Parts: sequence; C-alpha cells; structure tokens
Amino acid sequence: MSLLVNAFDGLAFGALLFVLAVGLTLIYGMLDVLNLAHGALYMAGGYIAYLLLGGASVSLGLWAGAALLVAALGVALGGVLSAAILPLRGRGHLDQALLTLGLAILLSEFLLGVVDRGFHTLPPPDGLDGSVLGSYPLYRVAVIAAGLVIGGIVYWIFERTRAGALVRAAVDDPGMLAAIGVNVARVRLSVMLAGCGLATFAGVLGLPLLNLRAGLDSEVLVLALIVIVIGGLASIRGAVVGALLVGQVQTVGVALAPELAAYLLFAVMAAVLLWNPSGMFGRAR
Amino acid sequence: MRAILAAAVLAAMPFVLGAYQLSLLTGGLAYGLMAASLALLVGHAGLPSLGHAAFLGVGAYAAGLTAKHLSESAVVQLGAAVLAGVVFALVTGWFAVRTRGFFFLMFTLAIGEIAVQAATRSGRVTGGDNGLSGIPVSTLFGLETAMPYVVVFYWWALAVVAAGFAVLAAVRRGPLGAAIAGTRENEARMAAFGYSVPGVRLAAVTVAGAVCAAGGALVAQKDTFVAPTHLGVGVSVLLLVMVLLGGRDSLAGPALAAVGLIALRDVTSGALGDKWLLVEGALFVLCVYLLPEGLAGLWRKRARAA
Amino acid sequence: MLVLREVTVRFGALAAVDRVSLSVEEGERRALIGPNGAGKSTVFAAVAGALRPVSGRIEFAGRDVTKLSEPRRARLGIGRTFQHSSLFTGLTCLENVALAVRARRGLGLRAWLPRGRRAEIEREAAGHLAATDVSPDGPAGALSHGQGRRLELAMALAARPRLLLLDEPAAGMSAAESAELASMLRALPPELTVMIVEHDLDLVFAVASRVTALAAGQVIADGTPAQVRASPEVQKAYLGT
Repeated sequence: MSLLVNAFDGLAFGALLFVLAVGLTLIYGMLDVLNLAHGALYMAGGYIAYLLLGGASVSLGLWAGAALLVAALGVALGGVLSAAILPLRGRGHLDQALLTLGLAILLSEFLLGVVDRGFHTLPPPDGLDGSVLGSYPLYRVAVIAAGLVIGGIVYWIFERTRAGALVRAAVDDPGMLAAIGVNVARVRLSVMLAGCGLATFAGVLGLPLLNLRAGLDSEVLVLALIVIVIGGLASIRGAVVGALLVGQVQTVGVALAPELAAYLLFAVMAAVLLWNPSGMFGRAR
Repeated sequence: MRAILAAAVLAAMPFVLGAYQLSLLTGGLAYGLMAASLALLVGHAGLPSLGHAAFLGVGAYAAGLTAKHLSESAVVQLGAAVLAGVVFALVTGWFAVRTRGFFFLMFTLAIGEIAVQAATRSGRVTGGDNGLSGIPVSTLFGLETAMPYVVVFYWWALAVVAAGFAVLAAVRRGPLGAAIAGTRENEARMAAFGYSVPGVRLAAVTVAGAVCAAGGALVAQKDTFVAPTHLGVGVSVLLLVMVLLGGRDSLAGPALAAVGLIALRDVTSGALGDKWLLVEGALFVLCVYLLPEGLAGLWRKRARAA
Repeated sequence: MLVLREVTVRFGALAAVDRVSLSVEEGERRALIGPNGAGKSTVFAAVAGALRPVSGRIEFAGRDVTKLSEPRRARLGIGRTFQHSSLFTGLTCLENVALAVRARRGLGLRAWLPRGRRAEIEREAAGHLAATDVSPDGPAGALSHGQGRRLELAMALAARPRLLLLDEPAAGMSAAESAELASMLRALPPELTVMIVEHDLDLVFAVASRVTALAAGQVIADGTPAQVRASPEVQKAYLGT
C-alpha cells in the first residue's frame, strides 16, 4: 500500500520533472544550446512566487495569477539569455553552455542574496490543500494533472500545428527550413522563450513539493539532465519516459533501498547509455 | 627549465611566508593540481566535465577513511586515494566515454551529484551530511616531529603537486597525449588508424581522475575533514572557473588561476561571505566572453606580438 | 584479399548498399564508380568497419571480419582516406602522420617513449611525407586543398595497410594536381591492394586494373576498364537515358 503511495508520488515528481525537462530538451534540439540555466530558472520561479505570495496559503485564483506572472517573467529571462548567447555564436557549443552556467550562478546567488540560504516552502493554494482517498495530498494529484495538461498541449502544438511542424523540421534539418523561407531565428527564439517560461512555471508548481534552498538549482538541473540522458535529446517522448522513470527511481527506489537509490539512478542512466549512447529516443547528432 | 625554477621558488616559500599564508598556498597548490587535471580533459581531450569534483571527493574520502581506519602515513593515504580515483574513473568513465559533447557534460554532472547523494546516504561509512570528521593528522616520515607541521606538510603537498604536474605534462607530450588530442580533433580518423576512441578517452579520464584524486587526498590531509559538498557541482564549477580563467589548453594557467582564486576567496571571505559565489559567477561569465583561451591565451598573444 | 558476399547496409528504410558481392585480389587496383548516391562510400564504410551491414559477410585476407570493430580491422591492415579531408588541423603535418605510425607499431597509447624511438617514428613519418611531397612543419590546417589531399594519402600509407581504400582522393583537385596524384598512385608498391572511389574518370582509368560500377546500391557492371566503359547499363546509369 505504501509502495503504491510512493509510486503516485513518483508520478507527481515525474510530472514536475517533465515540465522542466521538456523545455530543456527542445531548446537543445532547436538552438543547439544546452541551457544550464534551466535549474536556476526553476529556482527563480519558486523564489519569485514565494516573495509574491509571502509564504502563506492563498486562494487558487491568486496562486494561478502569480504562476502566470512568474511564467511571463521566465519568458523575459529567456529573452535575456538569448541575447546573452548571441555574441557567442560561432564560438562552439561548449562556450554557450558554459555561459548559461555562469549566468545561472549569478541568477541563483542573487536570489539567495535577496531571500536567504535557508529552507522555505509554500503551502498549496486553498482548494488544493486537502486530501483525497483518505489521506493522499490533493496537490500532488493536481501536479500530475498539470503535467498531463502541459504534456498534452506541447504534444498538440508539435504534432498538430504548423508552428510545431516547423520546430520538428528545424530539429531535423535547420538548413532546409531556411531554404524554404522560414524565419528559423524566430522559431528558435519562440522555443527558447517557451522553454524558459515552462521552467519558471515548474518552479511555482514544485513549491509545495520541494523546499526552496541553496543548491536547489543544481539539484533539479541534474535531475532534468538525467531525464534527457535517459530519454534522448530533443525528444518529447524521451522527456516523458525519462521523467516518469526518474520520478519512480527517486520515490519508489528511495523507499525500497534508501542506501542504494543514488546508485540506482546511475545504473538506469548507464544501462540506457549502453543500449543507445544517444538515449532511448535520441538520434546521434 | 621554467618548471624547475617555479618548483625551486615554491620550495623556498616557507622561509618567506607565515604559517597562515603557507597553509593558504598549500590549499591553492592542491586546487591548482586538480584544475590542471581538469584542463587535460576540457582542453586537451575536448571532454567538458562538470563532475570533476567527484574525483576530488573520492580521493579525499579514500584518504580520510584510510587515515581513520588503516594508516596515519600520508604516503599510504595518497596511494589509497590514487587507487580509488583510478577505480572510480574506470567505472564511471567506461560509460561516460561512450558519450560525447553535451552528453558527456550531462553525464559527468549527473555522476557528480549521484556521488554527493551516495556520500550523504552512506552515513555509517562517510559520516553522511555531517561529513567525515576526526581524521587524524597524517605522519610525514617523522619529519613533523622536527619541524613545524605547516612547513612539513607544505613540502609534502608541493612534492605531490609537482609529481602530479610531471605526470600531466609527460602525458600531454607523449604518444598518449597526441592520441588524446587526435580523438578530440577527429574521431573517425583515429578509428581508421586503429585507435579505440573510447579506450583513448578512458585513458584520459583515468589519468585526470587519478591526479585529481591525489589533490583530493591533500585536501583531506590538510583540513582533516571531508564533506559531501566536496564532491558536488559547486566545487566542479570552481575548478572549471579556474580552468577557464587560466586557459583550457594550458597546465600552468589553471594552476596559477587556482592559487589566485583560492587566495582571493580567502582574503574576501570576511567581507563577502556567501556573496563570493556571485564573484565566481561573474568571473565565469567574463571569462567566457572575454578570455576564450584564458590568461594563458593572453600571455601567448603577447609573446607572439613581442 | 577482400570478399563481400551479399552485403546490405541500410539507413532506415533505404538500402544504401543492396546485396553487393564483389571480390578483390591481392595487388589489384579496383575502382568503384557510379553516380552520386550509388553507395560507393557506403561500401567503403562497411569494409572499413565504420558502418555495420544488416546482412551479408565481409572477408579480409581469408578471415571473416563482418563483426570486427573499425580499429580492429585497421590493425589487421585495412586503411582508408576520407572523402572530405579529414586531418588533425591543430597538429603539425608530421604529427598527423606520426599518429598513424605509432598506431601501427602498437605504441599509440604509451605514456612516454625514449628519445631513440621518438626519433625513429619521426623519421618514418617524415619519409611518408616526402613521398607524397608535403612539408612536415606547420599545422595541417594551413595546407592548401591539394596538399591536404596528399597528406590524407600519406596518413593512410603510414599505417602500412594491406588494403587501401581511397575515397575520392582527387576531389577538388585541379587537372594538374590530379595527374600528379595519378603518378603517385601508380608508384604505390605492387603488393598493396587498392580500392578507389573517384568521379574523375581519367584518374580511374589511369590507375584501375578492374572497375566495378554501382547504381542505386547494386552492382551493375564489373570487369576491365574497357568492358565497364562499354557496358550499356553503365552508359544508362551515367547518362540517365
């Protein structure tokens, strides 16, 4: 019974990781930039929502408003990141990734300077703070639902709209898109902005689940990266499967074998890499 | 020649510096060695590792545990650390070298964080979150009874660092170093020559890991304390800043940058505290924008111009 | 020396090489010709071990090498040049060749070599560069296109292969450079088996003793240069009529 609860927790955690990782993986696919600021963006989302809402339980409407505002801020930060990367074009992918890492340190240390390095959390909004089926926290169910909705929207955009088709085509062959007269730069920018918005939104979504604290940025970044290593770069399906897997390892795995959970994550990653060095759904790039 | 001169100057430092500065320099040299070992991966092998601190931590825990349970001899602890570094490099590197580019970066970052978790959760052995404390002071050939410990330990650290640098320099200049550079520049060609590309890379990771673990042993011996944070991203990033600042394709550059940064961090720690990390981030960004080849690049440019 | 039996290589649904069989004798100079996309470079990649066939068998010197990795095959004596110059641009020309020499001697992963061995390797590398008329000093990245192609050749020869695969060695060369290359290829030791993919048919007919024509991943003609030139299938594949 308690394992079932763990599995459900893992589903909620996986949903949260998916919201974070899907942006990261698509930004990589579109821009060839590994956005190592993704964890800091998540953290920024959490801290800004915490500052806005004052750490107290608020109404669902207010909470949603704050979440939207934070997502918009994430989009703006995405714009800043894109502009910052611009001068480094033609300087190799590593330098761009390193730049995002440097900016990530600045962003997260700035936030920690504004608040402090201690633990902070925010209770779920009114209406989502109850429990279902006796004692299971309703908020976690809501996170799973949010993950499903966002996953559905992303999938729909990709598979059913012209914009999504452009992104898919650009991932496969950027040269071809430019050749047929599509403004690749604009498609790229949109993906960057959307991905960063999702990252800060995930930060709000995760507030009641993961405590705000120093080091949260790298912790979630690493988990999102493991999701991508497992699932494969630039693959939405990969992000889904990877996130669900990591979610389970981090909950069920920890419950079953607390001492081994860390190695379990490594084992899963290593096994996938042995099978396909580009991840489950990845292609060699 | 320059290396011998530098070693001679450094060896004379105990006659110039006070105990506190000497201890600071000891730490700086240890970090310098570890940064140089990372430069072998990032610059020479083209393998951008974001988990190099794992080797520091593995070496430090191995040395600390040896000191607590096995032997108080600094040499034995160093041997244990290097051995642990080699084993850790072979186990994680065997998988890591099959990836490349960003996947390598992500994989190493993940390994570093997993190592932190492993150290935190194995509390009975490692002391968990609180770290491994109560490491006894190492014995150094009995010299410590005749002279101040800071001085003897400084010379010991200097000897280890010099040996580590000699290994790194020899590897860079020798056939293996050429093969490592070859896999960085052109994998397909190296395979066509008959080199096993993963094998060459694993050799690079193992050399860098073993040398870094030796530096980790010095950290454990100097501080008589190891914490899980020693393995984490924070330290990996610090090492990377040293490499970027000093120059990726250099050994002396990152080492100098390490000594400078460790000293700067210490001098400003009273005024800045945790805000030091902001300085680190700013340095990081500035290096990427302004110093793609680090200070070593500036030096070379000036040498060419003159 | 080299036998391919019903070798098929697929990229997804596309069979880039479709049940290709061919046999190359020791010392032969075999050219592979065919229009773009015929599968010539894919055959090379399969022989060298860079690509795995989905079916079929590759034998080299009487040994089944189908499942051997590329480095293993290289150590058995299969050497190659690449269609696009594939140099170590950051290293000197001498070091480019020395990498091959050390690999052949099994010294590639030594951490350190005594001075005498180092000098010996450099002498051998310099010899290969002299034979292909490339200056040993200076970075490989600074070479002209034609010199780069010759350095490619020097690197492949330095591995002392028994079978040498030349993938469009004359690509991008001027007529004069191409003629010079042809005389270099004719001067190769007679016991060396050479396979060459080349669009410059003048070079092909100047060098090859036997020609295999491919189209759409299949062998459409095989024989002496004169026979292949006269083959109606080849005419059709090239002229599209």
